Amino acid sequence: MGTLKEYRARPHWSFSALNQFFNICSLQYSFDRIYRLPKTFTPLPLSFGSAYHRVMEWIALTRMEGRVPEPAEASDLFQNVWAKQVVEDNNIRFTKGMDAESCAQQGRDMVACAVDNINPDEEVIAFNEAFCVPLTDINGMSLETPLIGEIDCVVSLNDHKMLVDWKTAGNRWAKTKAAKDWQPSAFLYGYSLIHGEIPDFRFDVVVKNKTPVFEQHVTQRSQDDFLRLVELAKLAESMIAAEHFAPSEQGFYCGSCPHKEACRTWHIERSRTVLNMAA
Amino acid sequence: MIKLNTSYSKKIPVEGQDFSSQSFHASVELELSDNLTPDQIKERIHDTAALLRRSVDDELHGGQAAPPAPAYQQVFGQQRGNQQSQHNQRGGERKASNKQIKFITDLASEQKILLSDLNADIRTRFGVDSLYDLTSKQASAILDEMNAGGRRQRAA
Repeated sequence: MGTLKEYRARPHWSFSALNQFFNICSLQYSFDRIYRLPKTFTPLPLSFGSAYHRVMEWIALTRMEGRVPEPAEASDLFQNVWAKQVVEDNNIRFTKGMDAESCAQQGRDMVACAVDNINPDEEVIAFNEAFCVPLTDINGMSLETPLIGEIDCVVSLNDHKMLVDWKTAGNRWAKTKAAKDWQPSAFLYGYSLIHGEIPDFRFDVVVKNKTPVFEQHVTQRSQDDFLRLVELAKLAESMIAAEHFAPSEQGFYCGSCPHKEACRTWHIERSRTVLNMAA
Repeated sequence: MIKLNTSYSKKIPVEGQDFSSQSFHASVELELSDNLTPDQIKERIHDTAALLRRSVDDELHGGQAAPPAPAYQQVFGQQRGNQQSQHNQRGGERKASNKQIKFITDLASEQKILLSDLNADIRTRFGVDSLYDLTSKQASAILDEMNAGGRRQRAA
């Protein structure tokens, strides 16, 4: 099996790219992935999520080796990983009331919460499993650009297999979120093409409350969801070819966008280009 | 009489302008015989599209330096494809390109071969889990076999 890094070296689609294009902001997508503008800062959730993820990987590895780690071990590891992350991402923009130290404490509590909620009967089969698969439509025609991704964890309980994605969240998830999310569609599509089966998908979410809260959201997908995903990718490709990018100014993510300046002057740049071409 | 309309357009940025593009477009209309098989029609479409693509590129390159690839192609197109050929190597062997894999999956679909069966086959033969782990040479070999298989199927 190739690694995500290898798969990223080829032109590709990913869940996060599709999600950014359609659900976050197509203009932000273009700044990030087409025009490749440098980010003016690293959003805190990105850095924090990376550190959390690294600790969860270690927990999965430890479980694969037949041991459930102690919560304190995970907390101490988070402290170390976070300290490195802060140095690595030296331009993190902290949200109001947060700094590196308070984030460290929050992360310690959150990974301990994740360990506390491990089902010891559940077996970890794999973690960080990368995939790269063709996006094939209902007529059997594939896009040239494949779909790539990396499955956080594959677990099994009573011979029932499930893909797991580790998430941190600022708020409790709405009950309908998992059913509507495109990530299970993308990851189960990739997994099914490699392994020939469609397991269930579960989000293991730790909510950043003062006392962290652990939530699990299980969802299923079918071939119909996969075909829908492929059509979305096809649509995105045609919109990108036509450079149809628009700001999503009332979106939830606008406040933490690292391309605010470019966004503010986007319409001027666009008008000038049209004028010059007309002349 | 079958009418074949083929068009090709290419977008490139306006030099020195951010977020810009200019379009070049060519189209051709042909009349084809009613006696052609679907495969022959497909081949004509392919040949005509290739001719248009070459012609537009030749026009663009004539007299001026070759223009840079459009921004979107840097993500999906040839320019990234070139980067890919440099980066996507393991043990000195170039990885199969997205275009090669697309040919394989389209042929598989035409020949009613399931992708999971194809993956199982390459796992056994080449020891890799997915089409995208194949080298360019391995992908070419599979393409040759599938093309031959398709020809045999059509002849039968």
